[in-house]
Amino acid sequence: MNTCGAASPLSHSVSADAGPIRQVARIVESSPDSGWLLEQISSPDSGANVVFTGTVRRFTGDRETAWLEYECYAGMAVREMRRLIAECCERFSCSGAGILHRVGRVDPGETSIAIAVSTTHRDAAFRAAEWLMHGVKARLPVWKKDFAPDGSSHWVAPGAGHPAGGTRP
Amino acid sequence: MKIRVLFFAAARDAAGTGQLELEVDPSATVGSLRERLPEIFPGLAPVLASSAFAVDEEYVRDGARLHDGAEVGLIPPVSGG
Repeated sequence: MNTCGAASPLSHSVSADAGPIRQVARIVESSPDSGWLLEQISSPDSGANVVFTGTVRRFTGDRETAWLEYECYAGMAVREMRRLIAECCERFSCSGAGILHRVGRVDPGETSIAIAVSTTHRDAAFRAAEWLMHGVKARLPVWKKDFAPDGSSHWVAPGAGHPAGGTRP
Repeated sequence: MKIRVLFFAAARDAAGTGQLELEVDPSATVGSLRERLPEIFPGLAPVLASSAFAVDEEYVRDGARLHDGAEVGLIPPVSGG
């Protein structure tokens, strides 16, 4: 599968010592709805929720972005989201976590990603959100092409090297 | 045995195609595929140097064995978020 737009339903897995962990992992083709995402992953038993949204910046340094075009390896992107969410919930004892990543054209000011985490207390929620977003940046098979106002374009390649560091022997 | 290789983003641009069906030796590994691809697509060499591979939608190291029917994704540096 190399087409984008696949969506997976809300899923639950059972943790040993608490209720079901609420998880959402989806590729979306329109603006990610962070309010909906939070509703899906929060629960009355958790007192801390962190929602992060990423929007497209008009300027990177002095270079202007007219729009970004996102593409993904759809099947693997959703599977990798689920792996990240499971690891995040394990590390930070989240009762829920979710990722919505947009593909296609995204203009400056529009949202490209929303993540949300839910934990008992706020310190874990902030750390979990930071960890999850870092995982998205490092591991999700998603790419963006940056289009300048003059129509020229380039694939954005962060200096971090290849994904999932250490995939080479 | 036969595998399918998927190219994304800069790798697709360099290969000029999104996918390739390829006959490989039964002892083939991800590393041997990494060495072979530039013979088919010379323009891929610079992208390959900074790319990872996935087999059946999971990241693998170069030592991983391929299997008949494997879906192999060539993953250039990711830039999600």
